Amino acid sequence: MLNWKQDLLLAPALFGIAAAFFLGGRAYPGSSFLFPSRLAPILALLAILLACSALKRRRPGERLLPRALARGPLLLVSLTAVFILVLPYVGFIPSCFFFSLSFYFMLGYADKKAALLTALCAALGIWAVFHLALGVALPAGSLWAGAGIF
Amino acid sequence: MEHILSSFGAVLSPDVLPVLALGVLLGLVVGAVPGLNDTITLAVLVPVTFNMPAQYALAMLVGVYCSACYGGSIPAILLKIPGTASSVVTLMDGYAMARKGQAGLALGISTISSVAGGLFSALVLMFFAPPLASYALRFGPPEYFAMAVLGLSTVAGMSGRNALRNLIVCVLGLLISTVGMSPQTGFPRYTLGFLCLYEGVPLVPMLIGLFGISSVMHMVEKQGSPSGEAGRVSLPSVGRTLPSRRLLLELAPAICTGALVGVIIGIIPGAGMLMAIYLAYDLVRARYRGLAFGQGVPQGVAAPEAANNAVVAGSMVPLLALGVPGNSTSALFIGALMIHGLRPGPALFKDNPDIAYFIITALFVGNILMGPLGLALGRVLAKAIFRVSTLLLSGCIILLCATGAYAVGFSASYIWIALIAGITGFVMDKIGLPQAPLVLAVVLGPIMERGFEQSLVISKGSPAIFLQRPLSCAMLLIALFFFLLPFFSSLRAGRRARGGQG
Repeated sequence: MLNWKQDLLLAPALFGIAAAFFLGGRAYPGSSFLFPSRLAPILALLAILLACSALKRRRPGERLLPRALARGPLLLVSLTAVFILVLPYVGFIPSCFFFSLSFYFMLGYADKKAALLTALCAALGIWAVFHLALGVALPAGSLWAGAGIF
Repeated sequence: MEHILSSFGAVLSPDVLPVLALGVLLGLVVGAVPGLNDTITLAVLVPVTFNMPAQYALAMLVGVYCSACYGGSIPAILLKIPGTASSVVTLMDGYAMARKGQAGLALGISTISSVAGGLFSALVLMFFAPPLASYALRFGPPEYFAMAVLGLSTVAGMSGRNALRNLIVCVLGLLISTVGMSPQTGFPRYTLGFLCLYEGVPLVPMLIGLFGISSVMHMVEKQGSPSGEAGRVSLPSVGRTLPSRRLLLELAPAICTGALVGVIIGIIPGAGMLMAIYLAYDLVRARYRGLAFGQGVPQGVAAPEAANNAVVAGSMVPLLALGVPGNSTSALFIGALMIHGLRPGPALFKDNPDIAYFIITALFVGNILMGPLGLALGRVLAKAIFRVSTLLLSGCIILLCATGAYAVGFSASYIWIALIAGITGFVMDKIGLPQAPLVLAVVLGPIMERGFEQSLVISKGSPAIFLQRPLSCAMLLIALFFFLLPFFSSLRAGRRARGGQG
């Protein structure tokens, strides 16, 4: 069953996106804005229809968000963001290793030995496949540039 | 014919065949792991194949694509856990057969039906795609625009009560496709100054995020329920696997129905795997009214399994012939082809016929390889896979996703794009917005925009050009029918409900 409260919140967000595309593209020269200028009003119209349909389906007692907060996904996103930020400085292998280790420990994986081993194997294995076998240049890490490691 | 024969030679060569077999094996494994599927695997594999020769890369991707659906049926039959969404219908009769001591027979029927469905759709692809592509070479800008509109209209038309949501996602996808340089003027649009967006939102990192990262987010969300259930899961005894000739003859109509439904649904962009399996199951159930479906009827395994594997090559028909992906998984082949400097669409048969026919033949051979591999490894796979912890697996997948996205442009900004797409995919799942129309719209957007603008240039600004060309007009009329289909359906449902009350 579709949640009317979510739809009611989604509608202005979509309207905002449509407005951003329309207003942001008006300054573009020539026919660059032609296609977006036709699409943005359609999205705005669909957003209004969604809001109307949400209001029609209004029922008391429906919650906007599920009771349990998504701790795992939030943690995953935060850790990945940190991984991307440190990747150019720390390098591929250490970033991967610490990312996986923190991921397993923070999400409460009980077997610490297995977690450690998997983190190490994943970091080295992925590096070997992409860098050694496929020749993809992965970041070595500016921190180690002077030290001649990696 | 000459191209077909030479492509068989290429696929069966001693260096390519093992790669194809490896892809098939990988597809079986990922299909059997709940939470993983062909889309996630292909999203991660496309950048991996970046430095491979095109034939190896395509052989591996085709192998995964053709066997993952079938792989999903193994845990569905043995453990009542569908490995992929495409095996949810197989589960009903498959698991019931396993409980009756016919697990092996169910696996055998599933294998034979999958192979038959896959081979049938590969044949359709082999003989239907090239003439369609040669006809499509005559398309002008209005026809391309109309074809893209038609592709998107089927997504809206086939979605029943979710038509509004699908339409919203389609338009959103089209707007996203306008990010980057304008196809007419070359002026950068909506890039916010990011260099990685100048050529548009990169497709592969976006798909890695939408399907790979968002799936991992779902996996860690369900972390509370342990996946390492191997200790508690007991596999039923498998016993005899191959069905008798008599049973096979009895199953033939169900397999044929499934295969036909799968191919037709597969060709329609955005119609989806689930529609094919449910439709095939319903048709077969209607045909064999006397059988107790859901309680271990072999036809209930044969029809959906033939259908889901027939969707695979069916979805490649519009991709290879017109450059329009049949579903999000086949959209990844666009990324794979582009990475290797190839242009999907009708020109592929003209400019690179070796590659076009190679894909078709690889699908054919991949389906043949799937049979013995599946029969030999089915039980072992089911047993092994449930010893793996989902958490350990998800950590490895996220690293593969990040590395794959990085490898596309050798920049961390591509991982950011994948992460943002992953969050978007996760949120879309949570609020009931489908992802497949988004992918289709992002892929079709540039085709539609180019067709739209070039047509207007030809007609000096008059939109009547779309109706003056017969083919374009016909396609737009069919598109209009699909757009209006959900409204007619809801009107009819309303009338029926009022009739029921009366």
